[in-house]
Amino acid sequence: MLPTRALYARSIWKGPNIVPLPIVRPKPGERVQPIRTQARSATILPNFVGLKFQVHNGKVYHDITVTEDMVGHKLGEFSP
Amino acid sequence: MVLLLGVNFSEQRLVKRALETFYGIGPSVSTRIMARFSIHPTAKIRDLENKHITDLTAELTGMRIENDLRRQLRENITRLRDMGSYRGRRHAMGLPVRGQRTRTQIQTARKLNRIERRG
Amino acid sequence: MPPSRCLLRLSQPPSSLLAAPIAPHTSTSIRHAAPFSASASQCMPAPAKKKGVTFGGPPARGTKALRIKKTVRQSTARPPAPGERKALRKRIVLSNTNALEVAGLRDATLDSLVDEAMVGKVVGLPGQVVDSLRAVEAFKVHQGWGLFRRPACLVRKETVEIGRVVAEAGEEKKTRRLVLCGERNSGKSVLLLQGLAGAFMRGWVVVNFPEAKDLTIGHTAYSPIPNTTPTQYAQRTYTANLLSQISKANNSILSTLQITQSHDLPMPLQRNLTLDRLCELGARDPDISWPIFQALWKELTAPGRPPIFMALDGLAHVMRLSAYLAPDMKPIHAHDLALVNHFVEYLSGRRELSNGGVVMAAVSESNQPRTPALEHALAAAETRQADAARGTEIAQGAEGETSKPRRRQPESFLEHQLRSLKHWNPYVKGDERVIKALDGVEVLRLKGLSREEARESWNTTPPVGC
Repeated sequence: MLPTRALYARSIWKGPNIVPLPIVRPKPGERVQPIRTQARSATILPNFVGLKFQVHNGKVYHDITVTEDMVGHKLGEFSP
Repeated sequence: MVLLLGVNFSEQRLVKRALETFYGIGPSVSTRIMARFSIHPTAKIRDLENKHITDLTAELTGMRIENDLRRQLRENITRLRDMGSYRGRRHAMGLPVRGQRTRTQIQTARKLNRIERRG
Repeated sequence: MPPSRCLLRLSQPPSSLLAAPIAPHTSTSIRHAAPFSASASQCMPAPAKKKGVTFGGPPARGTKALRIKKTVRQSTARPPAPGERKALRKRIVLSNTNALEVAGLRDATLDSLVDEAMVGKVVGLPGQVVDSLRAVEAFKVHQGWGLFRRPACLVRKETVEIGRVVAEAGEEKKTRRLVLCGERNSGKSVLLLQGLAGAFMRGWVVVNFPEAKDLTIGHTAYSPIPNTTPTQYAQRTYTANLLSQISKANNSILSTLQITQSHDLPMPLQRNLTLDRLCELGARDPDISWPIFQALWKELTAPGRPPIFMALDGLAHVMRLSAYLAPDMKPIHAHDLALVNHFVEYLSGRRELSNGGVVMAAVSESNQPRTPALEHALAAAETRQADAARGTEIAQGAEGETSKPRRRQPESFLEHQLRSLKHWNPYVKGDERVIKALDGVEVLRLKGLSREEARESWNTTPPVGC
């Protein structure tokens, strides 16, 4: 009956945090380097699905592979 | 005794309180349901007409309450866990999820936070 | 701090302070020198302390603390049955056999309620009227009827005024609209009761809402009436109760009136059904109470029927949002409740009683929600009345004595206050429906008893015998 509480959150009306990341579409049969980034607050967008990231946690870079479930979360959530 | 969603309620029970016994229905939802079917706030179960009872049963059947809601809660936690997020991990460890301190005062988190969380 | 105070503050004065000057060394020496002393314990060695038991502070974990059972009083009385306490609270006692009979107490008659000469006299209420008044719940618990041998009331200036209003409305077949207001304990409800008594004595049909609060606090069932815009809500249980009150109180009149029109009711009616039977039908089945109330009203307003007296106590409660909720969770305005709407239509003058009648409402000061719009509307009406009265007075004076310039009377404090209230405070949210509902009503403000009235009522009041 009520719309979800998350829609009232401040981050929703501000929109997703879109950070310009060096995303390269992999050509078939070609292996791409993971995207190394420190932008932990970047929102995972639908076009990230399937890409590999290396997200800095302040000390090291953690490898993550973006799945469909992760869309809408931030990159930093997966690199503790 | 009146049967609502498979639960027997005694005649002198307040309708509002009877609705609030279901997991997932609190004061505001019960008020809203009663307003929709024009049941006055102090109505008791014995004041309900047959029409009211069928309406209420239909409404409750369509809502996500009781076990459906509990299942949804668990699914949400499992999803967090499965995608390997920090929140999922904290649930699994039984520690506070939202950045609270852990030096003291984490009894509630120890009690509640787990993958198979009870409602 | 003075020295005596210092001593007082020591809870256990040291022996050196108190004992020393009286008995310098004796206290210790005597104890050892007297073997026959009864205080054997003082000679014995102190018992070994139990390990772990410390005095003062909570007991350590694992040891038993001293638990003294508190004496709990068990009541043997039977708990009151459901509804018993409420019945006791609402019980109305109208007679007291211990009270002395008042010699020469006359019953109220039709004339005594409109006669100026009766002002300040106490009159008894006739038995049949008392029964009717009781049926419409006109007597209130706190009015102290139980102090006297039989119900009687003082004829006040306002009583006569109201009696005239009722008489005129009946003769001219007009609808008079009246609101009683005034300070707390100034007798608004009793005046309403006197109005009702007058109506009963005249053979009018009386519809009384004894407590407007009961209509709006959401304690009785409600349901939307289909095909009404804005949606109105019927209160079937309350209406059924009201119908039974109407039939009980107006039995003598309604039993002589028969149905003359055809009604759109869910069940067929007998050809020559009397109106009190009609009321009883509605009282018995709450589901059809509202259509039956409408049918009854249609019959009562048909030509050739007696005039109607409608009364309501606690006006403020119906001039605000009610506690009921519409299906979209918005509170329902009290004027959208069908019964309240029915009353307000006549109070505001949107509808007229075709056979004449009086619509009277009393404001309650002891149990009143804040309704700025009501206060404003009453004040405005009162100022208008005062202005009109002063205007006629000046005009009369000008006609009578042209030579003397007549001075305009100074405003009283109350009038001044009312004048300031007349202008709406723009920072307060107003309720337009309320202002419209009270447009053009007559306002009767009660003040305390006048000197003559008070003296007479004191003389007539007998002491309660023991």
